[in-house]
Amino acid sequence: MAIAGIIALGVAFLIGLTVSTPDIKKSFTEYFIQSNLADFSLRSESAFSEEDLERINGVDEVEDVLPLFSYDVTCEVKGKEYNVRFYATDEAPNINKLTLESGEMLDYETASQVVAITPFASMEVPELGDKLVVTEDSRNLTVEMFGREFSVPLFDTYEFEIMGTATSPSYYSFFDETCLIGDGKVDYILFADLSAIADIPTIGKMTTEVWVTAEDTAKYTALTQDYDKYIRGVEEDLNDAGDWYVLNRKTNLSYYSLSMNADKVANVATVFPIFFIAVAALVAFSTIVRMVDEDRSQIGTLRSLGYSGSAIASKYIFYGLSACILGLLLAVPLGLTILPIVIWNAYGSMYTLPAFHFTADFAMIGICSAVSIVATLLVTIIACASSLKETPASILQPRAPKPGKRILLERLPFWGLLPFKHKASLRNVFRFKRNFLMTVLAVAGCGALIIAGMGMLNSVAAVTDLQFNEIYSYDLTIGVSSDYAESAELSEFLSDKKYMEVRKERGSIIVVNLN
Amino acid sequence: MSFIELKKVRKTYIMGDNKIHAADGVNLSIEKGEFCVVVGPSGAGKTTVLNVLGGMDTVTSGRVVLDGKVISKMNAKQLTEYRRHDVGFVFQFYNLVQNLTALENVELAVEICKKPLDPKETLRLVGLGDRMKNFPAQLSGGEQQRVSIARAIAKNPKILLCDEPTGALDFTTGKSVLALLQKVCRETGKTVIIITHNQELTKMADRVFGMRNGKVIYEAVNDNPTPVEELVW
Ligand SMILES: Nc1ncnc2c1ncn2[C@@H]1O[C@H](COP(=O)(O)OP(=O)(O)OP(=O)(O)O)[C@@H](O)[C@H]1O
Ligand SMILES: [Mg+2]
Repeated sequence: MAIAGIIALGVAFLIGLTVSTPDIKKSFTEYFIQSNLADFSLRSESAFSEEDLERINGVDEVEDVLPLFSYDVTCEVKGKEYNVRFYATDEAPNINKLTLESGEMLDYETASQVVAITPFASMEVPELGDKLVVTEDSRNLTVEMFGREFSVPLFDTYEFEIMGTATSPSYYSFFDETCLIGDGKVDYILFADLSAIADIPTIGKMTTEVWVTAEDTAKYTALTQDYDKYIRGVEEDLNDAGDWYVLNRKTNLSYYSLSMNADKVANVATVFPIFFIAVAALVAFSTIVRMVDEDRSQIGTLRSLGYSGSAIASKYIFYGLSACILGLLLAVPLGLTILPIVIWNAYGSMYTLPAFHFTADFAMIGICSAVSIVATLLVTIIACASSLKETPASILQPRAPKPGKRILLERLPFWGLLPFKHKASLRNVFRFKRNFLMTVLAVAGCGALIIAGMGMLNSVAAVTDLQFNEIYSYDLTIGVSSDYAESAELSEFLSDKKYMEVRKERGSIIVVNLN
Repeated sequence: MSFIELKKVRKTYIMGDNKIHAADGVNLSIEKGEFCVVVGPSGAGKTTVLNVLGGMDTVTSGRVVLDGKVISKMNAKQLTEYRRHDVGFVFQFYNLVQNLTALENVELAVEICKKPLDPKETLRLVGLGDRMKNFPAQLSGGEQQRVSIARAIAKNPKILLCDEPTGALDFTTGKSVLALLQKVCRETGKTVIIITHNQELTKMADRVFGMRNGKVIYEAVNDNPTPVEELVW
């Protein structure tokens, strides 16, 4: 039973760890396919034209193309100002499809309707019926035409009502989305009907962003290198097709952090097996050794009756194997379900999770089963061998203890001072080294496994903490236009507030506060 | 040539620096169907001789022959075969398998034999016809010993080797066990060898060996063995 237990535990853990990463990837892949997650988001300095869209459509591997209007504006909600990201399409998006969580979907006729994305990280919680009013400052857009700047209205409607909440395959992580307005953090993400957006003279509705999917994406598991490799080629072709930025999935914060985190379990899974197998073999060995010792006189009787050593050993082999197989039968379903679900739920602290999908790694199950069975066999044979090597005459007698050697400790001066009881137990510890060692190793191994298991859960949870306190040790990201970045005004402002610049990227400066 | 012959049998145990000659040049011959008793003080080498004869142990040197088979030359596999078909053991502490019933204990023994006797019949023969379904723990010492005798004779072996079969039994129970063994010897013609400390038991034997210090120090043939019932000790 102990053998069945330890094998069940070890193999379940092993299989669980091995399938967890594939499970996560499979679950998200299913969700991505079902919601038609964009492979690329195209952005441009100016709006996309009809010709641009045709050129994008003309790229060979492109499947779907969705032009949309996206813009970050400031809105007033219940008397306070928030940063709001607007997406507008003329019908329900066929790429990055929304999954309605509450309320209703847009009817794509009423301009004032919006659907809000389920909040993540420190976003505001949208409530059905909430009214958002675009602030005065955000209502207009400056466009350059005929060498002059015009201020044109962005919207046809300035008041919106939240009709429903929905999840989007591009927003599910614990990271805040950043923007270049207000405090730099997006509070609401909204999907609206294109009729809410104003026509701009001579241009019409502006296309500020284009979502694109590639033909063969569904053939690859998301979050894998296979997918990355496939998509790289498509990305190049899209880049060559026009004058725009091609942002792949890795520039999406949610996807990127998930792709980093999903492989963590897989890494743990490569270290654990050796450990598990060692502990399981040790427990199986000591159990069978003990059993054979207990059955000593019975083995002697059987041998006196003319049973062969192999016939007697086969009883223990049968026992070991049936325990092993029972363990495996328990382990496979447990390992395929419980551990992946536990890990999956741990990921729930960081991500909005889609429906869970199980995978079964048959090769791994096969290897685990084969290794367990071979190990059990081997261990059983080794455990029986010493008893069966004895002559039947001697096995009928109690095992002759090894002559009591003096242990090293006895030579130490304080030995004589110890009470007899302690001397006796110390002596036993050192004389029965195998038993002692086995107990120590088994306890150490099991302890280590438990601690490692807990540590694993903790570390998944701790990622959040580490990410923001250790890795993101900066205090502010300042979004600046390229000409302002080098200005004296900015450096004066920074030194005034005791900020030190640590890194400069296109359009933003990352700083730490020196206080 | 006798049915059983031991020639210059020596069994030496090496304990650290000193050698112990558990059997130190034992010679003995026993005829088929004889009821033999081996006596001698503790440590004389009686069990050692019996083990060697029963194929439970190997000799250091010398020759052991039973019914023309040279036991002392057999390898482990042949010894297993030999024990299976030719030898029945009865031990001082019965050595029954605790989680098997009386009947199952006998069946366990005959399962691997070529031409065994019927286990139930054998149990009836030893007077345990109505205790077959009992486990060893539910039987008295004498009853357990009778199960172990049934187990030994059901194998239909050539010799019965009994190491102090009455050692753990009281006077009357011991007597009934010995009577049983003597009856088996007389009725089935099997050769029976019994080890004992008890000098009195030599009177019931056809042949007696006295041992001391690993040697046979005397041999006596009894033309008129006393029936067990008349013995007192
Ligand atoms: N495995 C062994 N290792 C070392 N010495 C042994 C071993 N078995 C027996 N001896 C020694 O061999 C000698 C003969 O032992 P044996 O068991 O044959 O005596 P015995 O005549 O059966 O005695 P008892 O009447 O007490 O059973 C003894 O001195 C014993 O100590
Ligand atoms: Mg003895």
